Amino acid sequence: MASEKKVVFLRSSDGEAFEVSEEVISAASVTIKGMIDEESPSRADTAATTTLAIPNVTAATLSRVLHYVNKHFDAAAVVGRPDDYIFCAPGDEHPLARFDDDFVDVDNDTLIDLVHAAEYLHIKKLFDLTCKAVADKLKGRTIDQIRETFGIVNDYTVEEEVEVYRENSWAF
Amino acid sequence: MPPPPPPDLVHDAISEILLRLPPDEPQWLFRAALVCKSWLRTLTGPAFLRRYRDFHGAPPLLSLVNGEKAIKTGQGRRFIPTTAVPAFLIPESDDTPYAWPFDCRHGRVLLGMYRSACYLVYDPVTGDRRRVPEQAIGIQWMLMFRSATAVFCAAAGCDHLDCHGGPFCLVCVFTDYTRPTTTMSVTMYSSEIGVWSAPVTLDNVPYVPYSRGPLIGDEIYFALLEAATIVKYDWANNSLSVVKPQPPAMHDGFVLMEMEDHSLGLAGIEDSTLHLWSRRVSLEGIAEWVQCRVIDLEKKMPMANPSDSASVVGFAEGVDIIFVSTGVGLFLMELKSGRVRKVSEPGCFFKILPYMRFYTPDRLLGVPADL
Repeated sequence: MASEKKVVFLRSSDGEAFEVSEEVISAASVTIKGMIDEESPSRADTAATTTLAIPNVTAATLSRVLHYVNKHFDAAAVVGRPDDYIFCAPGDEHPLARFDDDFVDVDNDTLIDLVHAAEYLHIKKLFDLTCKAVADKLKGRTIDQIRETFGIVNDYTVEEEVEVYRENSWAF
Repeated sequence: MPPPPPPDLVHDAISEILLRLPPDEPQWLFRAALVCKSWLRTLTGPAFLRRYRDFHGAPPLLSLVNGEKAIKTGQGRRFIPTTAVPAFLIPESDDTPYAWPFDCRHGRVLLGMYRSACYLVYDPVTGDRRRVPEQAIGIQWMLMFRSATAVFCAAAGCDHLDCHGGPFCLVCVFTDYTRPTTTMSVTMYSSEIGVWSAPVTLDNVPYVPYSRGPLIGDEIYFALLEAATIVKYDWANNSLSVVKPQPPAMHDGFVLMEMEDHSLGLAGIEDSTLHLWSRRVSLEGIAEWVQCRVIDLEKKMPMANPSDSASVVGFAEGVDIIFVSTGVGLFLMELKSGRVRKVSEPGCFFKILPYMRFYTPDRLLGVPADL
């Protein structure tokens, strides 16, 4: 029925299903829009609700992603078109700036999971936001802390490291 | 049981994150390069560097040069860093004690070498130096009469995000008192041809060119002292003209700038208030000066006292930063955010030249050979 809002279910890697408006998630996620478009011929005449498997994203992350998506892409919740919601005067703060700041104020692992999810689901704005947040976190850290955060093994030799430190002392 | 290892970031996500490290704080990119060799390879790869420059759009401000002081007085000798960068230095040579900074643009610093009657176009990052001989009239004359000389990249199709080593042009505007009527003249040097053009003149403009003007398209602008007058040199058509209408008079002069919409703008201070004006041209071709912003500076930066005459002494294009000198120091103000930062103790600042360039880990020294 045209008057009824279509919904889809997204099933996380750990098996939890989340309901979301088809229109909203299609506006947000290129990946899911593609999945829905592929499904549509087979479900055109049925009333059955679609469930899409999202095998790369856990329930904890998916629920955060949907919170972001509903805030940013639900036309009923924001003024203007779903993907172009910023209708503020120059110099005004972005209407969702505070929400975005709080959204990325999470621990590293959660943030990195969000980067992956945004990348996999192809939600550009969320990917931009989370990558920027990780970059901001990098700024305050020592090189050892960065390695620890990202689980990176240092493959420089001590001599190589000393040489680079010495030659670029202004940066350290 | 040990905690599970942190989630791996795939290579794409890493470069997307590194891409968002701010260009005006280059130390973070350099530090990231030392995390592991894979990050180093990412950060020094031409594809990443190209994307990094495109992503950020305008080269960041790294340092300032005090254009009002001859190098010999000391203060102009060093660059004034505005962020963590290696110490850029004016190159040492017999005539540097008599060097005079004229301009910084497109990765280059332009010095007038008063003693040896030539210009030095210097790239502080690569160390590249080019000497340009005096033009027919003689650089001593021009310096004596005060002139303004600009340098800019002349590489065809260049987006000016990473200019170095290519062809360049110099444009020199000077007042010639040797003629019967006071004449403003302009001459241009092209490094590709290696000669100065015959001067183009404008009669009855008895004012001294000063300040560093913006280059907008093919047109470069210069403000004239002692008068609210601006001249424009269209280098593609080799024509010099006075900009009409006359800009609003400012008690302590003004600095020319390029506005966000690429119109010509100016910034000046009156009674502790910063005024920004833009020269708008209607569809019918009628130009007028429109005041676009007024900012109360006393709320933004400390003044020595209310009568302390603050003045705008420079502008950095692309990043929308102006420099304001007060009795308390030299301040940098980001026009978009309104953020203000002190960059130097008080001094003799009348003309501040911004050194802007992407400084990325391809400049990292002592890199292991086995990448």
